Amino acid sequence: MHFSLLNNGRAVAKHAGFFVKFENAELRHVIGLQNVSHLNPGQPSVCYYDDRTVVHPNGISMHARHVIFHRVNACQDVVLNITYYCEDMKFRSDKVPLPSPPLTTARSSSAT
Amino acid sequence: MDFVSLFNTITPADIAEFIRQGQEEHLHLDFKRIANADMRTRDDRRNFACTLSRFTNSSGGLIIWGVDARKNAQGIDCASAPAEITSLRQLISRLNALTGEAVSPIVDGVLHKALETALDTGYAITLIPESLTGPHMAKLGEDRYYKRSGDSLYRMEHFDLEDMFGRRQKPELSLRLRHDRTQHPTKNERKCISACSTMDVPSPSTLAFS
Repeated sequence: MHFSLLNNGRAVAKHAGFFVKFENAELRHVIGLQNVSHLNPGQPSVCYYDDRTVVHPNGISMHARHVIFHRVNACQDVVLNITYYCEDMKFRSDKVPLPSPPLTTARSSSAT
Repeated sequence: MDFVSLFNTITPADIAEFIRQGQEEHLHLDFKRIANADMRTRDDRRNFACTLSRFTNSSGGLIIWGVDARKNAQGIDCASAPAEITSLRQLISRLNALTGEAVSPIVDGVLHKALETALDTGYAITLIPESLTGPHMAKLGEDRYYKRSGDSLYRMEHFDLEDMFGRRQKPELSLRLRHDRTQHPTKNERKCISACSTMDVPSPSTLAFS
């Protein structure tokens, strides 16, 4: 899962950051983000915080690295509980479900 | 549900339910009735300009056209009766035309939608987002600045305008997610199936992964 930040406002976004808690997932690799699962017992979570650069309101997304995760229960959705923020903007939270993919067999995948 | 989601999902049945329950007007919701779908009368035009100015100078909101709102027995302003609009398409066309003239400077992102209950008859709904470029003056013969507080309209005072003109510009951050999905092969398979989808996390909203 790749995360990037985009500024649609009229001022630079300073101290941008986000926090993501995963449900039904197991983190395999966390690249460029901080794995803070140990601070949230039993729940895989990552955070990102940048106090050195800003996100300019120029329509260009700033890539904030990625995580590789494994779906624990293949039949259930992975849910991301996301909170993001920056200076001069109230924090925002949202819940993003990633539906489980349809089960694919070797025969059906070769047919597609 | 926030007002943007309500705008996207509302149906004529929801409006009928508002009327049945006596839905109150509030910071983000206003009911309006109009004299004529052509919006030629002074009252209709001024009404539209004032409402556009006060919503966009506050935190945005919805106007539902074609509903009569009156004070109930407890003195609360609420939806009381349907006042369905005939020539609905004409109204939408006129609203689209007037949006650019109703306030100065122009507000970006104003949307109008028809909710038909019968052919060319029914309700209309207008989405007015909060503006980052305010204050906006109501035009069409009004030439004043308005803001909304609760369910009421206030003429903006000098200090309100001073505050808005001097207001610091704000960022509007959004988070984008790109999901590269890889299904690893089992022992008997030779293929690795990969898919990629991108989505935004706007706020506040109900999300669906596509």
